[in-house]
Amino acid sequence: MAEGSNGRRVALVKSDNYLAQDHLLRRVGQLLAQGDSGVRYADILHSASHNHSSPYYSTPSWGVWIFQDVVDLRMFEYQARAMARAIEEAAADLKPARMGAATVQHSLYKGNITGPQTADDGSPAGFPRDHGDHDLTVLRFDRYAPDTEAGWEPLAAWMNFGQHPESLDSYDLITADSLAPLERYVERDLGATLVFSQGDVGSAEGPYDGWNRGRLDDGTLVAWAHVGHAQTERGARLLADAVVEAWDAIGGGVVPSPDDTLVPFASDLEVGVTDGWVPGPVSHPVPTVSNCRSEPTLGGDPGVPVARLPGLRTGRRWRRARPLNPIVQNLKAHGIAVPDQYGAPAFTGVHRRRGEPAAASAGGQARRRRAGFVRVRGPGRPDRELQDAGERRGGGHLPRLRLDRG
Amino acid sequence: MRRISPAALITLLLLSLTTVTGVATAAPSVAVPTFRAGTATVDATWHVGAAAGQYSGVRAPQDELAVRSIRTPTTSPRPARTASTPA
Repeated sequence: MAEGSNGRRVALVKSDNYLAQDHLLRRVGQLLAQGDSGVRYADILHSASHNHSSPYYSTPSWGVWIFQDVVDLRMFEYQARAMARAIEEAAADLKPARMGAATVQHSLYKGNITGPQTADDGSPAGFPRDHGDHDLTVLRFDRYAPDTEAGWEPLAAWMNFGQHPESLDSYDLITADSLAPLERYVERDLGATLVFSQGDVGSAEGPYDGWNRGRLDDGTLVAWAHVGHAQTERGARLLADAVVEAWDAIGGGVVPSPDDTLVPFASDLEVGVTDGWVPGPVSHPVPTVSNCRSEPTLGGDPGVPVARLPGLRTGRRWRRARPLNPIVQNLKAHGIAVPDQYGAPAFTGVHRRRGEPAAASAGGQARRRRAGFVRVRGPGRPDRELQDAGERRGGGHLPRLRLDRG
Repeated sequence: MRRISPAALITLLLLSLTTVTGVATAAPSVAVPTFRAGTATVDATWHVGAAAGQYSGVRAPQDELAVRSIRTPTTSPRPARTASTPA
């Protein structure tokens, strides 16, 4: 919970859920309206962990029931009350504080799950395995402690980084996956609460054992996903090291590399929140699931959305080099609009909230270059705002928290 | 009974002020922040196994729904059943 010098409050909330969703927050907002926290529905910046091994009976979205849990209204209400209570308790315990922020680069616990592909015409497609948002963002909160030598004490860290917590889902256990050791390591190291938020999680998985990422200097295999509890914890330790590095960079006022960003400490700053709905892009005007490519279908290999969820055709035949589909190319040549993909409408199937700038979170599975990413606006990288604007694509709900310093 | 002279009293007051000033100078010269922050962690574990319901030593989430105040602790012990308490 942060309260600016202008009296405005914002709640940065993390829950261990598969997705973030709007219905839950609206119920939290209803509960908060009965209290005196001063926080409204629109003031909540919610981040779901996207943990694949967590119960998720709290979504009324039917699309998620298919591959997660069917809604149980008892959990919905229970979780809404827990989130509201956390906000109320934090609001009742506000302390004079200072805040700084930094981004550092982290690539060890990161991978691109799509990876290299072959296009319909045989040309290279997909993404390099190392393609992703490697910025790890940390907001550091120190409590004012004039009786101590330093004058400040650690209070909390809020972090943003994209990575799938699904390393343990093959064990059929309810766990917090890699986030449990991450939180444990960071909180022990810093003596402060860690609030995790997801970044470009939709494309960020791995690295897996088969990716041949090599070994660290100490011989540790660079593979953290789906290779057991021990490797999951090792990866989390490395991620925790990066969080501590960012925390220390804020404290020391120096970031490790020119690619990093630093916003120095401030104890007199305003907090602002903006909230609104934006339409989807022209290329994806409606939400869909189970998308198929048009070109193979028009070439005689039809794909049926949902019937072969989630990947539809395997694409093996189409990954062989072949000439461009003459039907599709002729239609396009005559100015007839042919969508590149089609899919099953997913209205009400999935609810997402997406976030952006200085501090925000990805509600669903944001992918690199498709959704807004968390950025710290600092003096070191003035190009970042322009870059952010270029990367902001896709529709959805955009809760925004600006932590600009006056 | 000895009476303290006005001059001594003023000196004592000055010394006191000096002491207070000295303490204030030794403290970090940081103005009290206008920015404030707070944290809270709440257990939102959804009981889905043998720890749930009648097998739980603490109040189950399902029971929580009967509680009107969202400030009521969720971990308070389940009230002991007596002969007059319906099962």
